[in-house]
Amino acid sequence: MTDFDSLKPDPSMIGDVADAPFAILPEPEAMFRKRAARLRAGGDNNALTPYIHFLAALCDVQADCVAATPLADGPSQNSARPLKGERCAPGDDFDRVARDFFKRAAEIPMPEPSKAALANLDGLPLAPLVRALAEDEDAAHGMAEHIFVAAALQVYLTRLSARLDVTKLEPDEPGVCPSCGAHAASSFVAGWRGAQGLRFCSCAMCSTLWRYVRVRCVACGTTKGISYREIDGAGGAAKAECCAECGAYTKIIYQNIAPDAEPAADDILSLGLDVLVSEEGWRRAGFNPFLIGY
Amino acid sequence: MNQQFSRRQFLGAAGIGTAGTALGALGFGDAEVALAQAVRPYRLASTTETRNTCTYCSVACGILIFSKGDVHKGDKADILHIEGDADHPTNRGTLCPKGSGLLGFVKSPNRLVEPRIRKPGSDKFEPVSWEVALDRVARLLKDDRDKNFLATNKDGVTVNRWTSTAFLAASATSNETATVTYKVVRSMGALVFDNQARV
Repeated sequence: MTDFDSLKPDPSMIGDVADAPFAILPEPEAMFRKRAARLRAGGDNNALTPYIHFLAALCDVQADCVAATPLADGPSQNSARPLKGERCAPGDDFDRVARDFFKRAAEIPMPEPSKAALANLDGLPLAPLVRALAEDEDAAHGMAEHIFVAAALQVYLTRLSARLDVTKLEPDEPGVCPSCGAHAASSFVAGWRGAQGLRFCSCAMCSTLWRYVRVRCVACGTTKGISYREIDGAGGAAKAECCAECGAYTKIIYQNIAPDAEPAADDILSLGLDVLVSEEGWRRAGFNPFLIGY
Repeated sequence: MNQQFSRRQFLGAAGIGTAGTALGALGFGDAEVALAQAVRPYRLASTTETRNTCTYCSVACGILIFSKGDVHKGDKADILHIEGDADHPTNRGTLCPKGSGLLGFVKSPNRLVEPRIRKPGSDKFEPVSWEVALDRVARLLKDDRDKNFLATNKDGVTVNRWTSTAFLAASATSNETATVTYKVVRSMGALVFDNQARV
């Protein structure tokens, strides 16, 4: 190593030494606001503009909900996936968070089917819908109802994950969130100093980010037969990492190319890539409630 | 196996017929149709990222090689970019100035791609076949070894050494190649022997 006083160059300083923690926990309100801003910024020249603006408004509602209702202490962190129980069968606080979210969400302009779904949710027990989302059981109601419940669950779980002790989180099965056990929504290559070039997976439910080796399938964990698809001429900020072993793909978003990228927002903004990649026969592994069906 | 593929079944079970996606269910089916039309003219480019080891020196930094064209599909791949592998424990994403220039090294028009010979008295290299080159190298080694090999020293002790020829092995080798190189060179009695990796 070179001393600071020495004039000798230190070759190890060329490039940026990547030395980031295994996981990064969210700051809920700031994160939802950033997501909304990213959606608005990227949504104008997109065929999906009406949907993206709707989701941006929904993210702002999620941000508003963060501080609105009190939350009891989260579960103890003595086991792996400490929030799994809360994701599959959340405590009583969830109902308050969700009702508050539905009430605020009803005020944003939205198409008739969405309005109807929100109205349906009024007074409906939420446990079967949460279970359907978590366990993939038969859906209890229409899909739109499930999506709104998932959005409320995002607020609830993100608030809980923000309180976890990040140093106690440990690597889990490939693609599985170390906080809540949900499957990764998408992944991104970090662009910030100290983590440059490292890939993180992002959880759509509790917003935990965790490190995952690059060029490795997020669905099955293999490093064989990985290739990438990007829209030719679009700059390569979003790619689909396709696995020949299991036939799945997970998106990877490059912050070194798109510095403002936010994993969940860019997952939605790059839906065109999903359309083309699924036509080639690949199956989407990442779970994002706003993209169910892809 | 986790549940990553089951979301489509979720839709089936939801019994919502044609509205098989989140966009359809929330009432944004028109936007979805518009998106499908908007992406129609575009095509997908197939690229790869390949994990490898820098060939320059014995530090053996991890690198990621980005190329366009998927060789698994029979395309001809072309290397576009090389960067340090952030997951690699040795260099953690960094590269030295030589490693940072790897792409130039790969693409250099000055790369030696065939055996060449500069004959005594000549001022230029001429291409020769591998057969000619290897025969000539073997001939010169044999002649030199026959002339200078020492079986015993002046006290009559067996030494079997050959010190008039030096051998410099390349750093871009695997452990196996290095072992075989060592055995070949040492078994001829050569003592002046080093590896580029130490340079």
